[in-house]
Amino acid sequence: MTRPPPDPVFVLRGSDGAVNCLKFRCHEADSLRLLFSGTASGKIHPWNLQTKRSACVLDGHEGQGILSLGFCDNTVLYSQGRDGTVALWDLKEGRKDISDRIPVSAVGFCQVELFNQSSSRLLAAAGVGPAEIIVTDLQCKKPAFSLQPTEGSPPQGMVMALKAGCVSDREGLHLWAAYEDGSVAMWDVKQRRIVSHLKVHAEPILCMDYDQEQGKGVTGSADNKLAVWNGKDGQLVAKQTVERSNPGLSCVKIRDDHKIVVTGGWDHVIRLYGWKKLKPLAVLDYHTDSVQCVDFSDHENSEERLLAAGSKDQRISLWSIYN
Amino acid sequence: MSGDTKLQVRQLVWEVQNTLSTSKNPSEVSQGLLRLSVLLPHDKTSKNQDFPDSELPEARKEFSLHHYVSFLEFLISKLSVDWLGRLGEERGRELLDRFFLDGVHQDAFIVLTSAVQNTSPSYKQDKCVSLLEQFLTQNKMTSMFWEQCNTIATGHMIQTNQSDSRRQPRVHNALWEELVTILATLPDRMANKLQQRNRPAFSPEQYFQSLALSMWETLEKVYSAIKASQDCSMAFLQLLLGKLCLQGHAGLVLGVLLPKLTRQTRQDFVWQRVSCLLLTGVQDRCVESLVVQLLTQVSCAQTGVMVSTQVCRTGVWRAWWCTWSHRCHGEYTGVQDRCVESLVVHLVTQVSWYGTLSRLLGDGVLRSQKLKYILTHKCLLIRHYEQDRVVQNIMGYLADSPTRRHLLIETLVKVLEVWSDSSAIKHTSYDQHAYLSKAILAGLSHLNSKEKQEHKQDFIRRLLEGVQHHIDSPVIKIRRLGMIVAESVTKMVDPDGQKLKFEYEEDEETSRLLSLLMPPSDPGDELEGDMETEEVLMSKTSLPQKEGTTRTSGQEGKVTSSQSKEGSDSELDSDDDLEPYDMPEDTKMSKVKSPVYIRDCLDGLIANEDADRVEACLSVCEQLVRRQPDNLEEVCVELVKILLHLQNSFAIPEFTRLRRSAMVATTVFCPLQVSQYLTSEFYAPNYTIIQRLDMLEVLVGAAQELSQPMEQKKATRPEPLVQLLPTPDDQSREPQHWREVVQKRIEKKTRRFAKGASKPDPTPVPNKFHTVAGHFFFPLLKNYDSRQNTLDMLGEDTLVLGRLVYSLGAILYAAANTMVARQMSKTLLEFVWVLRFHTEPYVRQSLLFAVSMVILSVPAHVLTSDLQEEIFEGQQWLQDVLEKDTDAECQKLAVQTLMLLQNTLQQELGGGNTQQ
Repeated sequence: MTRPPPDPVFVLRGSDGAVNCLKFRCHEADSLRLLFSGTASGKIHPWNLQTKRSACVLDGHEGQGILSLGFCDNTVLYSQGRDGTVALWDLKEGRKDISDRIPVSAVGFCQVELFNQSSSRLLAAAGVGPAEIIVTDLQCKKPAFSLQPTEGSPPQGMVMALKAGCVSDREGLHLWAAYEDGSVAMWDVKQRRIVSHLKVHAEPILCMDYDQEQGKGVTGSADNKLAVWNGKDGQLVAKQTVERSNPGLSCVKIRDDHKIVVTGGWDHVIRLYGWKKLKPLAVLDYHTDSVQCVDFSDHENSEERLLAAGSKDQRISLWSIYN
Repeated sequence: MSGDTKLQVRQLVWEVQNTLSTSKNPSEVSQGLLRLSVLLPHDKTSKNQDFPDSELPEARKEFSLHHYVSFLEFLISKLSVDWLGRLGEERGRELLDRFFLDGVHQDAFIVLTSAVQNTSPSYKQDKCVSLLEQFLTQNKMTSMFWEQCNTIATGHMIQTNQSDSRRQPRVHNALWEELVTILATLPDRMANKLQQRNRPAFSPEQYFQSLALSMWETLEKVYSAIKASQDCSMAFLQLLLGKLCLQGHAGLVLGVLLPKLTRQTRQDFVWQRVSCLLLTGVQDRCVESLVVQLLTQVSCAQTGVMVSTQVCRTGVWRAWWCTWSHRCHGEYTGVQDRCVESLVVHLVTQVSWYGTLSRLLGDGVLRSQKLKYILTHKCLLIRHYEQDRVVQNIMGYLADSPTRRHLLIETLVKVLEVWSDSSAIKHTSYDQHAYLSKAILAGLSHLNSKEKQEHKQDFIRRLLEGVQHHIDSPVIKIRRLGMIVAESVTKMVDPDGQKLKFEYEEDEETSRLLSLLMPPSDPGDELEGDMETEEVLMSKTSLPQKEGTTRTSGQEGKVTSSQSKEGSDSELDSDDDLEPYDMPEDTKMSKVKSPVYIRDCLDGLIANEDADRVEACLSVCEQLVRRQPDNLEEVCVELVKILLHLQNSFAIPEFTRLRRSAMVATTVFCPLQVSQYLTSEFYAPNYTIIQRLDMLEVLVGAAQELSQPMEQKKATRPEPLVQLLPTPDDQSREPQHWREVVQKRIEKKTRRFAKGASKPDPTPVPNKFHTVAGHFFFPLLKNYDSRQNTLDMLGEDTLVLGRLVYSLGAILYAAANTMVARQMSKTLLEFVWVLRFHTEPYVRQSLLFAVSMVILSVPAHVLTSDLQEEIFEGQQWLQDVLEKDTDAECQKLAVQTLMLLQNTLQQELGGGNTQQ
């Protein structure tokens, strides 16, 4: 029996530039359910998911594109802009002011990663030097330390994506970094050294996500492969690759329940795979330009869960699938 | 006194013999044997009654020299159930055995083998065989060899300062020759004589391995003797080894000896000398003491190793004298040379690293002309081997020592010269040629920078000449060889200068060739591993142990498998609960729209600047043509012209296939126009060779497709579909083809009585190639002998000529069973006749192919009637090729064609007979 793939449940139009990043905030049942989107023109739209409208526009990066969005805590949104700063937005009680700015020196496209170590909150971002990662303390807004591989040894090239997490309870915090030479490195943050290093792709890696529970990570790159690797036991091991006929994967995301992984690419379509074996599940073809970002909502009730995808064609599509 | 002893011994022997033959009393018989056993050379236990201790050695010597053999023969003649019964007890028998096993070993061995040889199956023979078996299993061989080493040494000791030094060895020589011959042929002899009753100890594998082990033990003894500054000779071992190699048992023997020697020679200087002597000097017994002394001093000074003069005499310098002894002993030279060859060939194929070979052979190549000839000429230029290590070993060996380096250069130049020779390329097999290339690469890896500088010009000059010849060759692999060698030589010889760079397909063979550019390193530890397996092999008899090991390994296997199962368990619960949606085909995204009309496609293909558009057009071109648009006939020639001139300037993937299939499709649907165009263009000027080959390929492809009985469906005009009126119980409302509907009704009313699947007969389809076959064929033959600047088929463009003949054969085959085929075959055979003595093997191969195609595509009766004359001549030519052609592939094809022809004729004639 076959069934056609579903259509989007809604399409949010009205951005004045390519949609670069998306972030849901839906887990609180009582407050407003919002989807934040950042565009290449430097604006952040909080979309109300009930009315499907964006009530206001947050503009704080001087017209430079937004690279990433995230939450420091429930009410503090951070946005990384191409103007070289990470802005912290205070959204308490309907306010929308920039409470703080943290300079981030990198010029590339690497999204910042926020994580906790012991009591301090740290922000990892690509550094200026080759293959350098700079970790900044959020409290004092000063660079805490930097992670750089020894001269001449792999990995090389710019840092393209970052992800933090714990391998297991015994070991400390780890940081996974994807590089321009197509390799992934696992950093031990405490000891500041590379635990393991694996060449996954032939082309620069564009996106990465990591599943802490199963110790598996997934990367997409400028070539036509989606690669899954195992990060358990302190050793990166290539596990599986899926090849597609068109190159370029700009975003990849694993759903919170570790069942589905979704990718968006330069071929305009959103693809869903089963996370365990990368079984192809669906191809969602709506956009007319490359898909730049995908995100799953964090609804408490999984029935209401949404998938959002933002594209270069300035539209954001919302899908309800496999709930 | 010595006279007395002699007399006494003789008397004793006579008495005992007498007792043995007459007496019927067991105790008397054994008593007699016991008395005589005192005289055995290794006897220690028996009590001595007849001789005082002082005379005993002399008596023993007298006995073993003059009486032992005859006494053994006497004993054997007495052997029978009856007589042995008289010995009665076990002790008596043991005593008897001792005479054979503890006597003078070589005499006992010879006597026993000849006894086995001369008797018919009987108790006597059985007894001799078991004695011989005991002789082998109780390791008497080792002591026999060791005795030989010692006797000659003592002989030398006595004679070193005397002029008649050759007398003693000559006496030994006859004995040794006999002994060595028996040793080398024992398994054959035993198998011949004993047939079914042969013992496992005499099976060649076990026998030669135990023989080699005995040799090894002897060598160890020699080694320790040398260390203890004692003199001993290895002449017997050399002789034996040479004989064994000559008999073709080198593999088994060296398989045991070589790993051990390799291990020992790595560190130990004395061992190196021992092995060097063993392997290079095969027969050597004329040592001029004076020169030896002189050379010995030099050797000691150089090495600084405390080795006695005897060591050196038995060591390296004796090998030097080998050449000299060739001249002295003219009668041995033949034997010796043959031994050297079979020995060296085994060495170069079995030694895993050239350093080992160098240790084993020493500087032998400088001394022996024969060795030099075998290594630098015969093994490289005349023979060829599968293993890469042969060339690596030879070249490495030549390069390993500064004294031999000039030989390396010499050899390399010689090989390069042969490699570059155009006639050698044409007339040797590919394997041989690839072997030469390997030799060049392996040799290059050992050159140092000074040598490179000196001989740069020489190398490059020869190389460039050869590369030209290689690239001219119609065989792709030869061309590739030329490219690889040219690249490597220029890179290695002149790293700073200009380099050649070619494009060729890389595969396993190329990487194997290129890997030869790195000299192999010493596989030190691996060898140790080999040793262990070797030892396991040796201890084959210890079966229980072996079982134990296999059992444990089996258990391990189980454990790992269960582990892997556990590992995969977690993977089992998969994404099955998520049901996939429909998925569109994952098509390649293209920036431009693919054309829908054939004229758009034409325009797109001409648009040179737009890579995406050209790619899109090219990829849909075949589909468009196959849809058979109405205007295809108008544009077909133009389309083929464009495609023919299309260059792959954008590196479009699968360009060649797309272009070819588009052209073939066009030719299939407009065969007349396109074939006329292509056949006339084939002889036109201003085409490259590759374009001409493309034309041939397209013609052949189209001919094959046209002749295949496939229904060409017209996709553009589907036949009307029938929609049945829905019946209440019928769920399916799918539109059906009217034919299916009718067929179903017929099926309903048909009753079938036969069981089993009824197979429908293939529907006959007219051969579409029939009407146009002539247009594909005859124009191609029109002016093959015309000569142009761009195409000279009878001259240097042999590749095109060969392909033309192939294509003609293939087109003819496609036209099989048509009326015109008869005419085509006649023409083709005439064409073949003209070219039959072409010098290029590739062309001859294609001619043979064409002839076999004629035989296959023409009805047999035509062969015997219309084409009788041509076929008869062709048959003679095939015979000729079979007997005289230099190319192996040609010969093979000729055999196949001849078989084909004979089968066809036989069937035809045989069928005619039965009809009559």
